[in-house]
Amino acid sequence: MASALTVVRNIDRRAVALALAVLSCAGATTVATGGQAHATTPIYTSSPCISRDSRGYDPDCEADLFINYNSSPQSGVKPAPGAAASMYGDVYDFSGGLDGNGIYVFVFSTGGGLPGAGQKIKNNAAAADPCGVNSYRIYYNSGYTGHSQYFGSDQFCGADFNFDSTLKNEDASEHWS
Amino acid sequence: MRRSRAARPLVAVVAGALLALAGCSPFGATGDPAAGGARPSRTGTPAWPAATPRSGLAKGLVLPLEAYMEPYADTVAVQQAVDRLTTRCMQRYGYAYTAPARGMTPPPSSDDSNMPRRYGITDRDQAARYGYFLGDSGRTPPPAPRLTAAETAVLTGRLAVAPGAKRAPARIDGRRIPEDGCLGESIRRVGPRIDESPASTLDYESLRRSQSDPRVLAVVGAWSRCMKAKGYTVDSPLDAAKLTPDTHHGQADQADITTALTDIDCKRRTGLVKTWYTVESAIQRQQIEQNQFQLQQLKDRIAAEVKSAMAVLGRNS
Repeated sequence: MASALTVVRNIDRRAVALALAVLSCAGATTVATGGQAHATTPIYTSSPCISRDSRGYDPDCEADLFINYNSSPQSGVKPAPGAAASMYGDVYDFSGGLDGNGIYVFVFSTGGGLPGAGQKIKNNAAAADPCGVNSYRIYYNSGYTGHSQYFGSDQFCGADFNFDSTLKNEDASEHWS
Repeated sequence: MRRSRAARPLVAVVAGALLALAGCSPFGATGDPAAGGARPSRTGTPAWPAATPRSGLAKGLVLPLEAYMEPYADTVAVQQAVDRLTTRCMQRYGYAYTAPARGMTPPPSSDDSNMPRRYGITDRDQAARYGYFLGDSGRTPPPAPRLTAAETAVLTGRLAVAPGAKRAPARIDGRRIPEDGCLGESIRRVGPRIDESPASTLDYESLRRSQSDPRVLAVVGAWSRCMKAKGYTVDSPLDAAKLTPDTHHGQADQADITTALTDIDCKRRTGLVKTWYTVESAIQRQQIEQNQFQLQQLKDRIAAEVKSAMAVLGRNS
């Protein structure tokens, strides 16, 4: 999809190219670099809904906020064409720790080789769809600080809603709303 | 997609035990720490963020663009109104549908400007208990109702609640369903989703522009030097959360709390919040002047939607 690469993206991003192997987990990507996971091991994942033991999906967590690398060509009407992270719940810092097992760094999924695949989502996203019953608020700085943007629950799930930022790449934390 | 249990974020059983030890009682709701295993959300609605901050360094501060934003209580009311109409519509098709309770997982801010945390943390009482965290990590939303395929189709006009879901047939069991299902019908009646970007984009812009203002640069520099004197290296309050990464599911240890208290004390000493707010207010007044028509249109749309929601809910606004 060559056209996907020309979708609106006004500002040059500092892209971090991550070489990730796609695991067989359905629809999600997780890689822990280094050997045993310990407190300082970064764990790259496209969703918090993955068991830390890599046994598969945590059945109590169901992704309902899809954050996209690209913006939608028609916000609220059409989907964004880039790679997405399948988020859920409150996240203090998209590139920060989640629990004592390691430092989680959320990235766009590598499945499908879409634009942005494997890159960090922090300060690198352009649109989101709160696909489900829950509403969210995305904050432009980590720790729920800075400017924020409301994403009301969307059970149609056919469109992405563009971020306010004209830079289209500032996002650092999220919270249910 | 079915949600058969109360959905939980990635939570270790250990995190539940930590909540119990800390005697966590977020926002005054009765503490009910999860000790592992799926739990429904706690009974009683948690406290919602106030439209205007009621405590701390941002107390009473309202930015000009907030007049064109929708406060939290109104977003909840609109959702509740849509829920009520949706339930009635589903009943017409023979389904007993109840939307999950709303307002059960309030964020720390009432609107997009996020005044309580816009320039980083400002509430010393909250910092003393939770550091940079919120003290609400045990709280999860009520589960979405379990729906059959037919119910999903009548509710949404689609075959699933999932990205890429295909549209349902126009008729289910011989009966015509509304476009986009009962949800679509209800949304059309209360008011279609409003594009709030006119106010929100400007609010983002004013924060960005203010960071180049000499007064803001001066006061942020003073704050940073104050932090440095206490042993913390950080350039801006907007980066301060990184001083205490969340590695224990939103639990702050004593070091985290000390960091947060130092942050706020340095803000008080330098007058950072008031200065930054003053600079931004001027920028926003200018933005409002330059975008008056579009902003007024947005404000009118929001007011109409809220009025409509209140009518559905049988409340006088």
